[in-house]
Amino acid sequence: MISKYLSSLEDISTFGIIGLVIFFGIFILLLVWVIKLDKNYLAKMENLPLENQIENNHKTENKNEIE
Amino acid sequence: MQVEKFSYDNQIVKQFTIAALVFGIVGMLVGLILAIQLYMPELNLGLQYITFGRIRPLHTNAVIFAFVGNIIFAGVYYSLQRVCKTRMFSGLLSQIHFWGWQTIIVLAALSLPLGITTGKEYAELEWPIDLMIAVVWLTFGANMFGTIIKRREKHMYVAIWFYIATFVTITILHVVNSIEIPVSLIKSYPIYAGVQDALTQWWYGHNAVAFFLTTPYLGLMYYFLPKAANRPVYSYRLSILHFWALIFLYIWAGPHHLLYTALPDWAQSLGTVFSVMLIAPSWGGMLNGLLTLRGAWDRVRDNPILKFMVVAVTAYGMSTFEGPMLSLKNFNAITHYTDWTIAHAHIGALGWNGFLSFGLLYWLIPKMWGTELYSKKLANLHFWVGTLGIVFYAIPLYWAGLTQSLMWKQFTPLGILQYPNFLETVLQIIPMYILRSIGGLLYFAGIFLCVYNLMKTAKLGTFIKNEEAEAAPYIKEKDQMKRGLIHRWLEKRPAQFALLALVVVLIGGLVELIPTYLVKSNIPTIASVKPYTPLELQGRDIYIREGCNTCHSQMVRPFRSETERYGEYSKVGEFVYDHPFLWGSKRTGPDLHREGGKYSNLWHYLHFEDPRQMSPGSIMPPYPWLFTQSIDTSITPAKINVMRSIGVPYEQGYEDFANQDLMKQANIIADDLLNNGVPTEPDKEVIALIAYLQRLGTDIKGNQTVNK
Repeated sequence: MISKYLSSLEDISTFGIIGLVIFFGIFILLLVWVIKLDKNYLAKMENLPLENQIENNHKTENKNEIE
Repeated sequence: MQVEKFSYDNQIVKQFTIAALVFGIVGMLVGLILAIQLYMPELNLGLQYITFGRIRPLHTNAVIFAFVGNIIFAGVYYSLQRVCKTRMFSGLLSQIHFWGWQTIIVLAALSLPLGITTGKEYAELEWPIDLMIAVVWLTFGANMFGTIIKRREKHMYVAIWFYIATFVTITILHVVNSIEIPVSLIKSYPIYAGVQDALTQWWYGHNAVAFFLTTPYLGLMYYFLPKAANRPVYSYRLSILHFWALIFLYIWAGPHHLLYTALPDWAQSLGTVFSVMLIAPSWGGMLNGLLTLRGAWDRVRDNPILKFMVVAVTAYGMSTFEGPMLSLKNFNAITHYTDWTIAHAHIGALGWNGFLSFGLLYWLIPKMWGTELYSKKLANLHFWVGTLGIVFYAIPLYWAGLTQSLMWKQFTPLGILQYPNFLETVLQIIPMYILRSIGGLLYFAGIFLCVYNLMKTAKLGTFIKNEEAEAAPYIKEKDQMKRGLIHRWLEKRPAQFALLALVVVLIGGLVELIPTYLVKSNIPTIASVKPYTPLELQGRDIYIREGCNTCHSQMVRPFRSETERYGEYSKVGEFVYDHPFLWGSKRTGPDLHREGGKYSNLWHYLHFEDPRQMSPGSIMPPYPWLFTQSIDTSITPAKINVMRSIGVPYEQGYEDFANQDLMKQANIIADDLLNNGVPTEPDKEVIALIAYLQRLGTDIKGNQTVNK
């Protein structure tokens, strides 16, 4: 059934155009999202992997002292 | 707020790390052997199990799925726990995942040299192993999502997004590309044929590079690079853009592996356009990585970890620029099927994946053993040996690729090929092959420095099996931040996030694949194209078993230089019964699509006995085992049945007569050989392989003739 529907498409090359339009649509939407992101949130996320480091370094030091 | 005490599981990270190094050494050793076999084919010691065609997939599978795969898992298990501030969801699932994955690797290492292969690049493993991969991969996914769900950190760091996209996409790719019908425990045929199989395979192949070698490593980069540099990522905004644009675009670009082939034009153009667009997010990511080091470049000078990472990220930028260039049709016309592709792939593999792995290991091992790196000097030495290795590997191959391609295309003023003998173009680049193997050797030597240094490091410290940590529990509360609600809503919810990632990658996949699957007009049928005879089918399976397609393409492109050399260019309709397609991606030897009828049976016989007696200087190894091993006729009926079930029009009941036809055709070839002075038993494998080669490309040769 789907195959009938698809073969009725006259020019298959429209698929490329459709793809391009979808992509640019999503991309613009994304851009708006990203620009509107909250600064506090960004700062928090940027430092997320580093938070542990401080704890870990601390621990490592303690550990070395114990040993 | 009350903080909870818990611990991170380092044991699983350690296991994956060790596995990665062990299999990394094996995989690179096999690569080195292959590189030397290219100018010294006798290095196979006359053994079929370590002949080029069989161990080339062993090398690619080992370095991609065993080395890189295990590094991915080590890195994910380490970073995921920490950015989620929780222990892995299930230690049992972690162990099932680890041992399952290693079992798959061992099975691959056994089955590929035995010639058990589907013949599809980077998806060579046969169906029982495919099933295992699916189960183990889903185990990994369950464990990962379980961990994300029980996290103590409200938001998912960008690395986790890359991990989720990796999981979702690899699942789809693996399932769709592995749909095959078993003939026996060790043999299957894909349900797709010819151009459909090619498109599916390269949709898979390209995105395996994207979602196994790239997205998980980007996730690792976004975690480990800031850690190693001890500063936050340059721009979190950019990483969001990088992520969504990358996963959306990548999936469309697969057809650029099939430019100028019989693939429909619109699909080729689509592949090119999206490949060029890919530069933007790829370079966004690269810059984000490099700029993370802003103001800390002085540290790169004396920190080998950062050195490795900087070169890795730079190599990522280089190969993601080169990739789109290679997908421009005019450039691709010159580089495709040559060693240029191999050089390109290795900039990514040795530079991006290899060096990021080493950087990560030099950072990770001291951390997990609670100590400092044993020797910075050794790590620096490793860095330089590895970098030199990459240079010595890649430059000769770029040179070789370009040289050979130009020789293929060179005409004399009279309009005939200047180098009509393919072998001449091979002999020209042998010195480059020798240099390349030296580059490979240097890189290979580097990994031993790494292993030694890491073992010494581990001895200095004590392994912290369970790393204590504490964090406040994740309490659902109203978001205090005002702007960008949609995205933050999304990244707090792993399931919805995975679903959206799935939709994003599916759009490209579906637009690319569905039309080719369903629209009849995309596959012009040619009335004179008939299914293979049982003997040819058996011969074709021997061709697949020996990995002939790793060195010989079966796709004559519509260029005068190719039609002059090989004959009429290949048409889509000629491949409709090819399960799987065997177009190949590299011409170490000449194209074989119009091989049928070009030489006598005797020529092929003598050529298999020792290629050098027909083509002095040939780098193809002899295949003596084809003369002693018999065709497995017990499986012929099953093969016919399976082929019929996937659309090859063998008549009902033909399976009962197939072996009679097989013997009839085999006797004709054996008689011909006998008349020419080489008595051969008709049931030997060489007979089937000759039958297949003599059939190749002859379906439309009769009326649209080619002379050679």
